[in-house]
Amino acid sequence: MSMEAALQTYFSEANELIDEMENDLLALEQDASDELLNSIFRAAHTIKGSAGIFGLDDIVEFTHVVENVLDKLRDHELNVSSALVSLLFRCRDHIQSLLQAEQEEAHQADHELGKSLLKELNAYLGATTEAPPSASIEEEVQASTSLASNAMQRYVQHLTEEDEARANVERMADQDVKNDLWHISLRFGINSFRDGMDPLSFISYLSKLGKIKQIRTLADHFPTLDNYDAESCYLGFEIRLDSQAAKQEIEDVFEFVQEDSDITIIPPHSTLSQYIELINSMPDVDLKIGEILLECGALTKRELAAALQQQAQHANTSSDNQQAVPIGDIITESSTQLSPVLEAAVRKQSQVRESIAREQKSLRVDADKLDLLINYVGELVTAGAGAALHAQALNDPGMLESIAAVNSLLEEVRDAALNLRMVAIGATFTRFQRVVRDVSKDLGKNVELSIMGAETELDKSVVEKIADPLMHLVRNAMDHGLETPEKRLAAGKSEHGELLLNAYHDSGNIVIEVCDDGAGIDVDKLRAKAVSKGLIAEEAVLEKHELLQLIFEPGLSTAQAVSNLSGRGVGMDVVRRNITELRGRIEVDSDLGKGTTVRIILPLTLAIIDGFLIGVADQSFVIPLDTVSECVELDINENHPEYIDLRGQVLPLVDLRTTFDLSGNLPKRQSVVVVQSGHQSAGIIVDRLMGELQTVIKPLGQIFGQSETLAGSTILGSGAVALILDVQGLIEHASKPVNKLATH
Amino acid sequence: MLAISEAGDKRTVALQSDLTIYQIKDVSDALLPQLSPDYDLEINLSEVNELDCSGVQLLMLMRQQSRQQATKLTIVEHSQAVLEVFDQLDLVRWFEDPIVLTGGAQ
Repeated sequence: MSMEAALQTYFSEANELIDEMENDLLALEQDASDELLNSIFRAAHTIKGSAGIFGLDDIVEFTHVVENVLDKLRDHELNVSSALVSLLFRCRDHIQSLLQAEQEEAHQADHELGKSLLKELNAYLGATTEAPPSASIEEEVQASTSLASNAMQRYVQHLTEEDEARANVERMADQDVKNDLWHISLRFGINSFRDGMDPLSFISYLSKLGKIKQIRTLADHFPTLDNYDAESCYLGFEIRLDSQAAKQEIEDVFEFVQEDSDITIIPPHSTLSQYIELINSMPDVDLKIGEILLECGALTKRELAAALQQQAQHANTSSDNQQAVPIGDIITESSTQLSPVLEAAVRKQSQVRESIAREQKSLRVDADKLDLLINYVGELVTAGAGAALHAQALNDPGMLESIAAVNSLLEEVRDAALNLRMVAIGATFTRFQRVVRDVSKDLGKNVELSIMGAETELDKSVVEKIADPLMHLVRNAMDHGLETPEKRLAAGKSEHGELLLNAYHDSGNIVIEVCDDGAGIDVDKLRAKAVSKGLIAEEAVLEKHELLQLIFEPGLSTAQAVSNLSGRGVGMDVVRRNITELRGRIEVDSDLGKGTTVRIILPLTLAIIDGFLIGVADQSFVIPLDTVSECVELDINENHPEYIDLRGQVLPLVDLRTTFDLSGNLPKRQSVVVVQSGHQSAGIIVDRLMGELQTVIKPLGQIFGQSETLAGSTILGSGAVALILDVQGLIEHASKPVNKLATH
Repeated sequence: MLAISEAGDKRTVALQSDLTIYQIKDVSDALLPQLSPDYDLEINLSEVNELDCSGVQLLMLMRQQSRQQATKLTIVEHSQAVLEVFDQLDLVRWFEDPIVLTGGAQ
């Protein structure tokens, strides 16, 4: 894995963590459980730790302080308060912004904001520094590590160069030592005490990264009584640590004392050579270190013997040169190079990935690859239709059977492929928890968000594009739909406004609803406003739902006179445009005083649909199969009827001949395809019913893009082009007065 | 700083201050000379409320010296703070002093 690829993985995982953090923070407001605090801490910690590996100093520096505060929360030195949680929210946002700044050159993080956040965070840290001395060890470590972060940043930058120079962590082939613990060898500098470093605090901090399995405190360097200076440090430690931390994290612990002290960190499953190196690097204790390692179990006796033998052998073979080659050099020659930083990075990444895999059992796939697959499946569907056509022409029973089998498999492959792009809308919905929380605080309203149908799946590309319009609708509902607690109480409602995000499947569509139990829309005022804006004529007769649709007209956005509409129009036209671009539509239901429901109806997928092929004159059309409810014969006696009586119901008719101005002889018999969209139905008069087919939707060009009656085009197996009808558009046409229809 | 009492061949030195870098110079100047082949030394740590590595180091040095000089040194009544640090650094065994948990330490 290259550094660049690892970095990309880091970004995507950091973004996931930051999302998780948001959810946890939201949950924290409700219930300050240790588990949540731990989870938030871990998220911050992982983001910081990995950022360190990649030298993303801004993120390390900022997140570090956040992490310190979180740590105090975790240790119950600080209490969860709403002010603190809100600060953490802002910090989370800042981390996100920092991450974004690293990913996109165009994005600039607001460093002033960062500084002021740090100031606030430090206030929380400062508040507890006056704790009794017994708690001060941790404080010291934290203070020193935060001081150390400067040194660390410099260090991180030079890691790569240092890497090459670092022969002492290179690996000797084939000789892994059998143990899964870190070995950390510490010889503190003589001035450590005077510099305010207490080895004890480092060891305490180390025990936070993992479990100290064994520790040996060494008195070997103690001077004679005469030379003893009580304020000098002569201590050494050999530590065996059981930890999942990355090497970088462990190194970071000692960053501040690294210059004056001898610190050797040997990762788990290291090679013998690294221990030999350690043994060799301590000339004044000779083989004592070997014995220590043996004693604390880092090496077995056999391994130590092998190491010493090797040392001796090399000394012998090189005796010709009258000079024993230092073991370190020999190891360098015989070893394969290993970049410890990269290894740590990769290990860290794989850890994160493992945990994600455990949680979601999912696989990360490039969106491009998926698109390519869908494209191929689309081509395959078209080719399959062509093959079926030829098989029919040949009329060979065996051939037809094979083709039928192939096509049914093709259908399954298509469905499976499309399913790959499907994601649950829940994640998008959950994001609104935060929006609702923030906006309701800003507005001084009590709003409870409930979510239904979070598991409803829809196309990934749709999910991405729906987020913005949804955001708009949610904000609108809170801003203008839901009332303040006082008003609600006065209106006899409960103090809490309710906001519902709901998603469900409905005849090949996905429906997303934003419901509030707020004031609702005053249709009369809306009408008056629309008339004054010249959007509708004074005497126009409009149904309520038609009037409500007016809120999507651009002209109404600046309405001030209509109190519960002021601003509701802001961007509503944009919302509608966004939805229309997704081949969807938007509806509003509203009861004055009871609430408003905005319903977005979207096609499940943008790529392939099941279609129903029909013919009019010499043209072929495709009707999305999900919208077809039945087919009936058209009574021949009626000439160009505008509606028929379908089992007692009035069914408006659309004659495609008229709509698309097609000529050609009328067949003896015509059929009516009854289509349904939402609550409305209509009949489409067609010449021929040609059966079902899988349809790969190709967009229409610019010229036809605005057509309300066409949703796209497709290529039939024969190579001919068929137009896909926009059923909703057609129904609207059918419902309009005839003279209007004729003008199209 | 030190409360010294004698009983027969035994001299008991009770530390009256903490054992951290801030006191260590004075404590070690007073404590080290107490080590003598003339009597058995007992160091009482019950009043030590805080101990850092410099304190640990001083105690270790005294233990090392007593071994080398074959003088008798016993450390008694470890305070809770001392025990915690000894435990953390796995030094209880190294010092070879019997640890008696007093009621107050619980």
